Amino acid sequence: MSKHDRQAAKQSAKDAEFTAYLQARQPSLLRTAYLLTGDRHTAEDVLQTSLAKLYLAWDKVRDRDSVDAYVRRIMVNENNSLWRRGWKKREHAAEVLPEPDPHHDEYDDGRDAALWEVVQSLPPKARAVVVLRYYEQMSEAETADALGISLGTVKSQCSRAIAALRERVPADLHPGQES
Amino acid sequence: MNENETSNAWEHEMTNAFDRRVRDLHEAPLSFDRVRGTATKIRRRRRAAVAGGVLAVAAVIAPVAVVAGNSLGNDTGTIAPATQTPAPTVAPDVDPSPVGVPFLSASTLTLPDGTTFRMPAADYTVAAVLGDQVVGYRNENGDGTVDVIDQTGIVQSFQTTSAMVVSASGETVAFMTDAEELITIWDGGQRSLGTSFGEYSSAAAITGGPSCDTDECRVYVNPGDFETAPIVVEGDGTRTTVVPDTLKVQDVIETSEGDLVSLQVSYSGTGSCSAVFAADTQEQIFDTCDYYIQAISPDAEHLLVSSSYGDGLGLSFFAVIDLQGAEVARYAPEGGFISQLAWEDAGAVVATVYDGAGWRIVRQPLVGGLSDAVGPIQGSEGAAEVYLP
Repeated sequence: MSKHDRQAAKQSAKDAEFTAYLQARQPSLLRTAYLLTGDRHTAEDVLQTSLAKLYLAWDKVRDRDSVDAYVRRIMVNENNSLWRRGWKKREHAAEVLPEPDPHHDEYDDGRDAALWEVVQSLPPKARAVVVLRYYEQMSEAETADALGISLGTVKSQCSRAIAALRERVPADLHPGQES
Repeated sequence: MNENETSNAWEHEMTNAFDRRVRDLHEAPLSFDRVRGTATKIRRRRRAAVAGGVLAVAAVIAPVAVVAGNSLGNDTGTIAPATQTPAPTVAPDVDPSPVGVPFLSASTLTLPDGTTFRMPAADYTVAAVLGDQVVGYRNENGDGTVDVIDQTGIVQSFQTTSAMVVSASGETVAFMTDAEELITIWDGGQRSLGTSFGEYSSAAAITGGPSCDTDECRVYVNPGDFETAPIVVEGDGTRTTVVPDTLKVQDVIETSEGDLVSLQVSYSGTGSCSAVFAADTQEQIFDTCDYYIQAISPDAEHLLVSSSYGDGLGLSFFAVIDLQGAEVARYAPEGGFISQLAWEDAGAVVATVYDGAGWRIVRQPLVGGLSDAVGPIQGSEGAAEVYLP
C-alpha cells in the first residue's frame, strides 16, 4: 500500500468514525445549542461551526468519552463570540426558521414561559452556566471545568439566575404556589 | 419553605422547564458534508491567519505546522469587558523594560521605557499604544479580532482574517478585516484604504505615517495566494505592485532613500528563496536561497535569517548575516524552538524561545554571547507565554 493509499484509508476511517458520532449525538447537542442560543437558527449555526472545529481536531481528541464536553465548550465559546459581535441581529433579521414547539403539559400554567423569558434575558455566559448546571445536570465542579471558570463564578451565576427568577416570575407562579 | 428548599425548588423547576422546552427536538439537520464544508472554510481561514501572522514562515508548503503560539486553536475562549484601564500602570520613572522593543506577557503589554498596560484578556498577541488607546489583536479558534481599548474597556472591534501589523515607530497599525477591507488606525484617527483585496489577503507592514490621512503612509499587503505579487497601498488608496513575480512581503524598513523590502521570491519542496529590494526602484540588493530573510536591521547593514525550509514547530535556528552573506551571529536552542524574531536595535536581536519547559525572550547581540531578557515562564509549546508585537 502506497503512502497515499494509507493516508486515504486513514482519512476514510476518520470520516466514518466522525459520521457515526454525528448521527448519534447531533440531536442532543442541538438541544443544548438551542438552550444556549435561544433560537433555532443560531443554534444550528453554532452547532455547525462547533462540529466543524471538532472535525478538524478529531485526531487530537483522543479520549472519546470527552468529545461531548469538548463540543459543549466550543459551542459556549462560539455563542459568546457571536453575541459579542452582534452577529445574530445582522445575519438573521430577515430569516425565519421554525422554532421548536415547546412541549406543553396539561398542568403548564405559564411558569415555563415566564422562566424561559428570564433565562433568555441572561447574558450568554450566565446562561451557559445554568444550561450546563440544570439541563445537562453537571455538578458545580464539572460546570466550572467545562467552561474554564472558577467554582465561585458558577455558584454566583446560579445564585443570580435564581434570584432573577424569584424577582421576575410572577409570585403566583413560584414553586410551591400551585393551587 | 426555607431558603435552601426554595433554591432547590427553583433549580428543579429550571431543569424541568429546560427539558420540556427541548424534549420534542429530535432532529439532526447537519449532514457530514455540510460539517466538512464548514471545516474546510475554517481551515482556509486559519491558514490565511498563519500566512499573515506575526510569525511568518519560510515553508509555505506546510504553513500550519510551523506556528507555535499564534493562538490557533487557543480555546481560552471569551473575553471579559475590560476592568482595567489601558492607562499606564507604572509611573514613567520606573526601570526600563528588560527588552528594547514592546512585548506582551500574561495580559500585560510592556513598552521599552518600562511603562506597562493591562490588556483585558490574556490572549492578545499583538498590541500597540496609540495615544490614550491601546489596539490589540487576538485570535480565538482561528477567528482574529482587533480591539480598540480605552479606559472604559473595548470600544470597537473588527473581525479579521489575519494578524494586525504595527509600524516600526509603534504609532500606526493596519489589518485586513474579514470583509477584505484594509483599516489603518493611529492616535486620533482611523481610515479605510479600500476593499476587495482578496480572500486570503493580509496587511504585512506599514511605513510612513503616523497618520494615514494627512501623512504619507504605505501599507504593504500580501495577497496570500502565493500566485499574485504583493502590493503597496498608499494613503489615498492607490495600489502598486511592490516587485513583480514575488510572493510575499516579509519585512520593510524605512531609510532615507526609501523603503527596503524583504520578499519571498520563490518556494519549492526543498525551501524558499528570498531577497531584499529597494521599493522605489525595484532594484534587488541581496538575495539568498540558503536562508530565509526574516528582518532587515534598522541600519540596513545586516539581515536576520532562519532556515530556508521550515518543517516543524517554529524555527530551529536564527542567524545574523551581513550583506555579503557571512554569518556574524547564530543561535539554535537545544530541545526547543524559536517562535518570534525582531531587531532590538542595530546591534542586537531578540527572540521568543520555547526551551522544552517554558518560554523566554533571549537577546543575541552581534558582538557577544546570548543572554536571557525575560523568563523562563512555564508553559506549553503550543501556546506562547510571551509575544513580540
